[in-house]
Amino acid sequence: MSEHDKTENEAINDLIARLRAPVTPRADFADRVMAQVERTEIDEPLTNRVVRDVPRSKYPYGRIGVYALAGACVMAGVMVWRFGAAGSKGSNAALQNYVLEETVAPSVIPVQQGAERVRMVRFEIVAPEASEVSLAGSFNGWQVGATQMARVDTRGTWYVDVPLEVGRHTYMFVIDKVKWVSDPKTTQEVNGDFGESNSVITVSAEDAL
Amino acid sequence: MSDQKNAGSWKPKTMIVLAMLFAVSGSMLSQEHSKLDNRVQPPLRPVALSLLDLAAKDGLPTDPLVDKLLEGVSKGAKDDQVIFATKRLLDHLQIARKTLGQVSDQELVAAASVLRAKAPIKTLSEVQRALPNRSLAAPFSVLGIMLQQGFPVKEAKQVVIDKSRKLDDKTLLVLGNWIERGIADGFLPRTALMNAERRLNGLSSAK
Repeated sequence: MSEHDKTENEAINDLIARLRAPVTPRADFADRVMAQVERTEIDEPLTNRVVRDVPRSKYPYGRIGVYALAGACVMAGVMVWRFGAAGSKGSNAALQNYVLEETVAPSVIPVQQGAERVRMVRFEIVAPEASEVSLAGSFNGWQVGATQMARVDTRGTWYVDVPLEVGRHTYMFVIDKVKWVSDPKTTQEVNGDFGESNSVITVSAEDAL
Repeated sequence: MSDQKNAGSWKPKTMIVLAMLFAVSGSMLSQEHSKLDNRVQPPLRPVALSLLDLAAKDGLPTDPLVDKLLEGVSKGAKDDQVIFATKRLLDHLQIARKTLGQVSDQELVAAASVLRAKAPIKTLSEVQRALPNRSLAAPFSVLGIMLQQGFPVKEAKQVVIDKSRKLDDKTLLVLGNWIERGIADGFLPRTALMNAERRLNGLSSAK
């Protein structure tokens, strides 16, 4: 190791030590800050002021700071290389569950908090001409307007998230309070007793298998 | 389709006669069913209440009947259609009770779904005999789903009995759901069953 390298290493170690050292503000620190704030006249947005006051130099954070940044990047790289495999395994499993549920509409998103028996289910329908859309089903007493859907884009996509218990539920969309339509995104249906077939959503605990 | 024809044959006159028959017992109608709220109005309301009272008197679950009534009313179906559908469900629940004896409400509702799918009544007792000491709610639910999706009764019954002996309720219901999804996606019933079994085996071996 050359003398130059040693000096640099010492400088880096010194910087790390100083950064790690606990910072104890003086007792009157808060008072001084507030006094300065009160004295300062704000005549333009704060963000602009900050940006304008940044020193413009080749190494805005100092030469040693650049080395520290490079070191951090190398360490981050090593961490990703070392632990990345385990991380991706976990996310693959999560993705698998997500895709499993996404193969049918509506999509089922497991709810973390509390009940194993409840899942948040997203219902979606594209109805550009509709002025209002609601969801009626066995879970809300088939009441029109009880579960209103929100329009989310200019294509006329409407959606609503509904917490449903694990089990089998039947439903339909109601457009402008009068037109009942089955979910065009799912083919799981049961013959209804009153005209069109009801769509079926089975909220299952299959990801827990 | 035949159901719709039948529903059409229920004239308002029939409804009135039914209402009068049920109204004989004043106590039956005296108990308002709160779950109906104000959404079921006369002339349907007294008939609906009578059906609910009949179910309650027989110790049958009323929730599925209320659900059926509200579905019909919300969808703007004619009163006679609503009564026909609700009465048919009540009949199925009564038959299930008579056939299975004292079983849980969930088992009765699931058994009614089997009868709704046009299975012979003896199917219920055959499944019950084949699966003693086991809740029949999940097996009947899956059987109902398979029959609705076009499985022949004999084959569906055997599959459900075999699977129920090996799988717990949760896994059995998952299997039923996968079969239903498969058929909905266009697979023939047997292929959907094979795919569902393969998927289940894959999950088991991965565990």
